[in-house]
Amino acid sequence: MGRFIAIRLMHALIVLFIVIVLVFLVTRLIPGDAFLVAVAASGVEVDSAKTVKVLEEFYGLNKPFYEQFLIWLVNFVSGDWGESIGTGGDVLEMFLDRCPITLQLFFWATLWQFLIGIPAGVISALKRNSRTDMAITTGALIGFAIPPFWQAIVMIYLFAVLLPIFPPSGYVSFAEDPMGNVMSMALPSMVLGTSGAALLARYVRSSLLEVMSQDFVRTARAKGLGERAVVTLHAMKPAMIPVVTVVGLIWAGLLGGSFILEFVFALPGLGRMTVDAIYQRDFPVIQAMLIIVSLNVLFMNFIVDVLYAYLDPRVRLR
Amino acid sequence: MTAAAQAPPLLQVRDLAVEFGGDGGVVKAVNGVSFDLHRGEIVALVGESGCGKSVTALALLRLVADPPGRITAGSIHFDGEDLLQIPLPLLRDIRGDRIAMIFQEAMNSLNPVHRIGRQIAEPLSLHRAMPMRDALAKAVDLLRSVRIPEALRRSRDYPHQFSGGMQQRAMIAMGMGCEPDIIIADEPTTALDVTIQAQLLELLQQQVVEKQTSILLITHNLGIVARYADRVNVMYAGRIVEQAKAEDIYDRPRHPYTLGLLQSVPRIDQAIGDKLTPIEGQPPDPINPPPGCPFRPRCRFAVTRCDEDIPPLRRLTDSQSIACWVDVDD
Amino acid sequence: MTGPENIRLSGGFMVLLRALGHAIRHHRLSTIGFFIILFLVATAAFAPLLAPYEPYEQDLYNVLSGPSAAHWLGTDNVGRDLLSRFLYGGRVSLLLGLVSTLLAAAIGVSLGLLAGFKGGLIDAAIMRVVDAILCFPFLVFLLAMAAALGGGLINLGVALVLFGWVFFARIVRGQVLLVRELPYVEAARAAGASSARLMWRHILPNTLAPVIVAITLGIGNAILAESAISFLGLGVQPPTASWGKELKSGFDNLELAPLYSIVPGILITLSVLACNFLGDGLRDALDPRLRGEERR
Repeated sequence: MGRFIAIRLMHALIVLFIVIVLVFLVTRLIPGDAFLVAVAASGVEVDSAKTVKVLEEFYGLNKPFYEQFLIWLVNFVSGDWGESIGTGGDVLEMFLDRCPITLQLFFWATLWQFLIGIPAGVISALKRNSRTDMAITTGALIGFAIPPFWQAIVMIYLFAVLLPIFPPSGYVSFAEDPMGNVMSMALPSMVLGTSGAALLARYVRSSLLEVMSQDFVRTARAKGLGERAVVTLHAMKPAMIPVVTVVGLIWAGLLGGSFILEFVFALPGLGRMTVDAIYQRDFPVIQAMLIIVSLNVLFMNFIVDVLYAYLDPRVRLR
Repeated sequence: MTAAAQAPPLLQVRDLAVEFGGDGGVVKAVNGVSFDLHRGEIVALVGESGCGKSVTALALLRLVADPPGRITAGSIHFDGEDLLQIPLPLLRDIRGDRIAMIFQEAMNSLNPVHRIGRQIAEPLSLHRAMPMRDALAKAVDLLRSVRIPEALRRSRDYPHQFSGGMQQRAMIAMGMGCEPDIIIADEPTTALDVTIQAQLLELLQQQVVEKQTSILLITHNLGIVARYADRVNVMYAGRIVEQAKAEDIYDRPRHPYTLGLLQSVPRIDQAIGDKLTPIEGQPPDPINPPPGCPFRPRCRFAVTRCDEDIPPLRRLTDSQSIACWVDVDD
Repeated sequence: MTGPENIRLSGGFMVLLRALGHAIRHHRLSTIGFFIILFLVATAAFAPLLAPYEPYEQDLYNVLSGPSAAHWLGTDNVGRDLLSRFLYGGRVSLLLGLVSTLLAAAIGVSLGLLAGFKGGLIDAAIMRVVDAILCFPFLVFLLAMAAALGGGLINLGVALVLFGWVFFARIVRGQVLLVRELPYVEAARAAGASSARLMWRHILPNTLAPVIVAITLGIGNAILAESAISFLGLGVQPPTASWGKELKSGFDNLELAPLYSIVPGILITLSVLACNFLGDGLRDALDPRLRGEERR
């Protein structure tokens, strides 16, 4: 087991290094007119060519490439994430500022998708080929295919415009108004959790169906266990182990989905910050966010691998 | 044996029929099977793979997967009740307690994510209302009784840590736990090497002697039948074609199929130099069986009547019956 | 399916056509999917004939009007006919999805074959890049590329290809590793078949089935991604219409003209759904064993 973790960790570190290099290369492709935009926006009358030169020096863009990379890497690791070109703020501070909002969104979306996705998949598998199964399977396929921002629009139209139950957009902090906070999170987290719930339902269904056809389930019946005990005591655990592997996939989906949904629902979280940064070509922010996001996915995949190995005795004890 | 034969049978199967329905047509996997099992005897169900013997075994406890399988006719009397008619909750009280099953391929039949000890303890805690701690202690005893070394430590292993023979022994321990009246053993020793086969079957035999357990032994191996079974039912294409005492089957097979089977396996009492003769041809297409006797196309002794009528099981002696229009002994 | 022995490339395509036929006939959902795709492709292809107006023809006296006999779905914020915009938008969305997925498949299949067949350092290098790209959620990757390359239809297509090839490379590499060990491929190798020949005659046809399924599903994903990026204003640029872009303009006018955003949303959902239906059907028809594939 220890060896297994060490190998996985090594693997993750190699991939992380490639990711960092990729991010650095890609963000250096961002055209330099970001400075021109920023200077023009400031409204101060200056010699723009000269200013850009000063700014480039300030951001270290006149140094050789590898030097830029090393400086940036050392700074990043030591917590100096640079300054935003758009706002001039410290990127790490901006990140820490926005983080709680996105985390709340993730929390609710995760809760929602597990509460919906897993039971739906289980019911669907146990009532295979019934009307309920058909409804759940089709629902999952639709949940998969529906563009999240469109679903958001429809939900806003239905539950905020036609039936004004929830606020159409905006963020209310929990400290100010707990109820308002929950209400403002309801629509976005439901939409954010939809595709994850659909994915879970599908995986749980196919996994449980496969397990239910195994010989050991028949053994459990032959022992005299009732159907409910057969499912809960014997089928659920082996069926859920492979489902763990999609949690990484779902997490990546949440990260991607939050970018666009925070935009639609005007939530001032990390996704919104990144999209704004992309509009402004604010590369220090983009860079930092890309690293954070990929680190997140990588970490989640690592956890999933270890968890999978831990849960399945056939892997754990090898 | 004779005394037991007088008493009413413990298990009485009559006209059992099981169908499998698919898009391609309906397969009558078991087609009117009847046999008895008395207390303290070992009865074998023998036949080629696909003859319906395993399906028969599963049907006894209504464990045939539905869909695609259905038990369409028959009765299974056990202790005064028809297992095919009683409500499922009552049947569940019998499963694993009074009638236990030992499956082939223990590897797949044991739950991979539970410890062996727990799996053996489960029927005990279920049917004997034993606290889990006591049930686990009993499970260790059971493992010891099937000669698993270091039983206490091994009871905490997972199935994949056991060898094939040990897995199968664990299955047997699981079946014996509640001291059932009947153990249905479906190919319990297939895919194991010969010495381990013998060990396991002796374990089962010991149960019969010590606890008066009855065993229904499903196998394709005539060697095992000769050595361990009291009575034999030979199955072909979903029907029983010959019923007899084990020694009679060997000395005086009366059905052409039984004769063919015996001539196709080596025997200890065979003169050296005698040739083995396999049975020519294949079993009939189960979806579109030919009219008449299903063995007709492969039969050396066939007469014209075999083309039209399916022979019923007819009694030749007190203990021997065949489903055939001719008697190869004549 | 016939056994894997001696399926040549042409045989592979025959198997595929038969599978498609089988899926369409026997798999109810893929029948629906197939006809939805046929319908959407036909409307896009014949958009110039079907559209009642020029998609760029403005009518500033008649903006954001509701459905009427003249404009079945109403008009947009500069008075352009919405039905015509959606028909032409379909051309952009569907074509971008198709072309980018096919390019991604071509690149991914080649690199996957290379990685699986050569192994060693080449394999390690390709697969680590694959792993690195997979560290980014699809949307985040596309947004990053939009930031780096700038918005626009072509750049979006490039970004889709740069991300999409990864899946094909993974599928094909996995298949190659599997197929390579099959007795008949070993036999061909032992008989002295060259690497190129082995790859072309024996390994490629066997990887075809999962690749076709992945293409079908990939087109759906690409359509979905295009709509998301265009929705954020980083994809298709005005005045060109695409479903995602129309959806965004519709969202800005949600209360005045709900159909403006609802219809393109339905069109996107339908086309993605149709691709998924067909993909599932094909997967079942081509090889039932593949059903477990999605579990990594």
